[in-house]
Amino acid sequence: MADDNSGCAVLLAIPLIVLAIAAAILALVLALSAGSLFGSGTALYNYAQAFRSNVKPERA
Amino acid sequence: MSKVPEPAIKSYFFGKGYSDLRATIVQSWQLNMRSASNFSKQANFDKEWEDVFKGLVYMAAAFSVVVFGTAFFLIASAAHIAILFLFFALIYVTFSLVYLSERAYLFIREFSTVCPYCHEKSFLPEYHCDNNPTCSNIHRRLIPSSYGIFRHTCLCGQKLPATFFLNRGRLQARCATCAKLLPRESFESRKLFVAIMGGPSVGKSSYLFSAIWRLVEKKLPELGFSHDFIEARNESDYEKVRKSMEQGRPPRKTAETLPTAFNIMLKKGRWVRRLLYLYDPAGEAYAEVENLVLHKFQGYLSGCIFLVDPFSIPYVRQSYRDELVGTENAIKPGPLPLEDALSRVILSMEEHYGLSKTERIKFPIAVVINKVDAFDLEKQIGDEAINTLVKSSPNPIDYATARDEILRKQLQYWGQSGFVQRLQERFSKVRYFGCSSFGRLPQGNGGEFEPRGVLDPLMWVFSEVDRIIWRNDQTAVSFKEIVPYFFIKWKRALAAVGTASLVIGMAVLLWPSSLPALSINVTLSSSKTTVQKGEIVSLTAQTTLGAANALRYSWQASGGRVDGSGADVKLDTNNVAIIAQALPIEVSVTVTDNKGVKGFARQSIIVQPRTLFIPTPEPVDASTPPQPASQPEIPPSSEPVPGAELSSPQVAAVTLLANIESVQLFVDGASRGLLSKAPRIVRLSPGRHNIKATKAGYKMWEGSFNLTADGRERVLIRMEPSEPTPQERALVQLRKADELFQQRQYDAAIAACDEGLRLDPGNDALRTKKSNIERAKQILNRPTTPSSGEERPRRPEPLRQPPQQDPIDTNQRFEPASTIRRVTPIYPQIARSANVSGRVTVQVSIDEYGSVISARALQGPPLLYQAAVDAAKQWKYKPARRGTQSVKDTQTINFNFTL
Repeated sequence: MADDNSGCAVLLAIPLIVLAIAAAILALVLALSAGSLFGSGTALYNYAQAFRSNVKPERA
Repeated sequence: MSKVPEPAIKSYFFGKGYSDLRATIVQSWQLNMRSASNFSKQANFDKEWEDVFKGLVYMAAAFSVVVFGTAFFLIASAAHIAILFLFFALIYVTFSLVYLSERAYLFIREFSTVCPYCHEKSFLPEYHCDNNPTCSNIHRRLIPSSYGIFRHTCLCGQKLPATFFLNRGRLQARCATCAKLLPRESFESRKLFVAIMGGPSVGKSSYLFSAIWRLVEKKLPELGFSHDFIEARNESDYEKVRKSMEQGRPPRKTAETLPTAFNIMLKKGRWVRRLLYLYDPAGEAYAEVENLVLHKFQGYLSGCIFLVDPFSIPYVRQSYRDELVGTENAIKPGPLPLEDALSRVILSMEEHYGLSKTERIKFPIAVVINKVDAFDLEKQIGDEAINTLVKSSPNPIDYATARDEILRKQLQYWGQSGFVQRLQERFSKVRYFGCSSFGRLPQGNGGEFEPRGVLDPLMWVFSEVDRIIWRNDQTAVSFKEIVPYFFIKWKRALAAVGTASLVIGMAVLLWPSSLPALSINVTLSSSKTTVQKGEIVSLTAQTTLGAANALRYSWQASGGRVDGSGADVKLDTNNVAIIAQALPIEVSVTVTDNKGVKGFARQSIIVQPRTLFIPTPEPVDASTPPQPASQPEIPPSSEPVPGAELSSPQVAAVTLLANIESVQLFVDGASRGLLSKAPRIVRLSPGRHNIKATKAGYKMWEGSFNLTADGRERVLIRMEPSEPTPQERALVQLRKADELFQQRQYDAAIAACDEGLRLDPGNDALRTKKSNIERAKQILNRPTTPSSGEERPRRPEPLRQPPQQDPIDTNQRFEPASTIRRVTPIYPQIARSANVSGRVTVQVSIDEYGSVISARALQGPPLLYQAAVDAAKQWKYKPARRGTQSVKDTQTINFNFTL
């Protein structure tokens, strides 16, 4: 009897595709998360800078 | 409140804090937008994975900067604002407390700012910054505010105290209205404002400086006061006048119609400070009310001295016309009539204080007759006359009371009754004084002046206003002076005393013996709750306590009469005043035991009228006192009142009517309301009944009749006017005599007094009036003193010189006088009591100036004459004119007196 090995390739390909997609999604998530953190940190830094330069509790 | 910003630095939490916050938000937003723009530029999506990843990161960063940045500054700003508001509120509450405390303190000490120049009164002056000479800033509201609680920082950097307690008074103050500099004491002292008022040439300036001279040199040391002229101008003025008075030269006449106040600071001991403001407006200011309205000091006067020149009174001028010749420059009679000057003062007060025409002016007024040393006035109103009255008075009176009485009566004798009456009506406190500002005629080289009697009016005004201070007693200090001192020095002691008082007060309130006592249970019962008028109701009060408690019963009823005492009484409803409808009567009883414990009960009993009606077809004469022969026939009423039925044989009715309206009717002693000309049916029980009818101004009518069970009685009550009593008629004669005296008809006036004394021999007023008229007649009829052997013709002195004008052309159109000011007469009490009313017609003569020079009642009730004449004399007119010239006029005024 002759063996058919084409199914093994499919079976190996699907997880790989899934992994690839997952990796892509993960990369996307990481990118977005890093960007958000970076952006929020920048926003916080900008506010602190504005606060420090404008708020001076002394008489007008 | 001033809208001009203060030249001071505002507190951070009242200004800059909010602008800082706004700038923070704006800058933060700008920075975020810039960052987002930078990030988005850096997002480069090339084909390399690394670039894509980086691009995604930068895009997310750009988005986050905007989103989170906005959220951050919103949240942070909210917190920032909350902190700012918290501090704002804390500061606001604190400076409000400090401000209110200071205001309360200043209010208790009666500190305020009064400018002696423009007379503006305000709470606080303006202050100069004391960073001299570099800073010229003026601080208009140096009080705890958004510029600082305890100190303000001037724009120049100088810190200035903003409260009284931090010695704000050390700064130079100035008036907020006229910008003149004010001494420190002009604010930090209690003030007394006294104005010397009167017409031109009455001697106000002389009086003022004489009074100050005597006050400073003699009286203040006696009372333990020291003095200080807080302004150099006052001190120099005083020194000049003192020297001239010592040399026998009168002070200069006041020229300014709007005077500057003369200030003297008086000090006594450690606590007492009084700043005197003495005002001496020129007499010409009293020529027009408009001038007086400018005198703002009249709106806050403590007292007033009204100076009277006796030689401004026509009667006195005429009496001394011979002596006045040659002495006018020394005596200088005032030209303005007393009543005119007083009227203008009162009108000005009404403007300043917002008073109506009848409201009284509350500050004291001392009426001072000046120049009492002239000629022989001393004998009439001087010490000699006063001491004589003190010795001869049947009741013991002191010198001041005698002087007051003599001077008041002398003014009335001189024809100034209207002036005296006006004073009594419009001022709460009036007292009369006599003085001589110089002590002698101010001419020649007579040496130093010796003022007499100048201090008494001033001291009286001071003592009326400042009741405790003006005594020669070192310990007599107002409580208001001591409280602040103790508050500052003895805070802890006060706090302890306050706490102890609170504890004691609470203990007293909560102590068992002070609690309301337990009450006794009382029940009140009656034999009936609805009765007819005339029935007797039995009332019983029942308690749970026994007789051993010695109970006391106190009964009260809103109608009827309670007979008896104790727990069982009877209520008689016979004299309950009802006519047609049922009347509820409240009966109550209070029961008290031997320990003072009380109980209370109340009940309502309805009393119904005896509601039966019988028609009355034929009139029947009742048995009455002698009646006139002819009585008007009144047709009997043939128709019964609809709806009434006879339901009991025990009630009958009588028809009553009177010949006039509004007669008060009493049947068997009980009031039955008013009876008129229309027949009125009264339901009564059969039997004998008494009737009484009364009305003011009429004789009382009394009668009785017998009413049978089926009686149809009819009674006509005929009222007759009553005669005035002899005392009332004597009073009419007194008024008539006064009027005739004013018209110079002395013989007729004496005859009127004799008639009045015949009617009422015990009338002292008539006797006094008669003697005064006889004296006046003697004075006026005395022969003139010839000089150098020649008879000097008697020249009557005109009361007022009309202005020089051309002869009046009678062909020109005549325009009668028109009324400018009307004065309503005051209803005399005696006429009101006698129920006298009606119309009085008064004829008035009007001069070229529009003033009423004479008034005469023509017709009307005599009891109302004087009031009408007095009111008519105060009327003011626009003068009558013929062409372009003012002329005299005569008009009539009708006054309606209604009750």
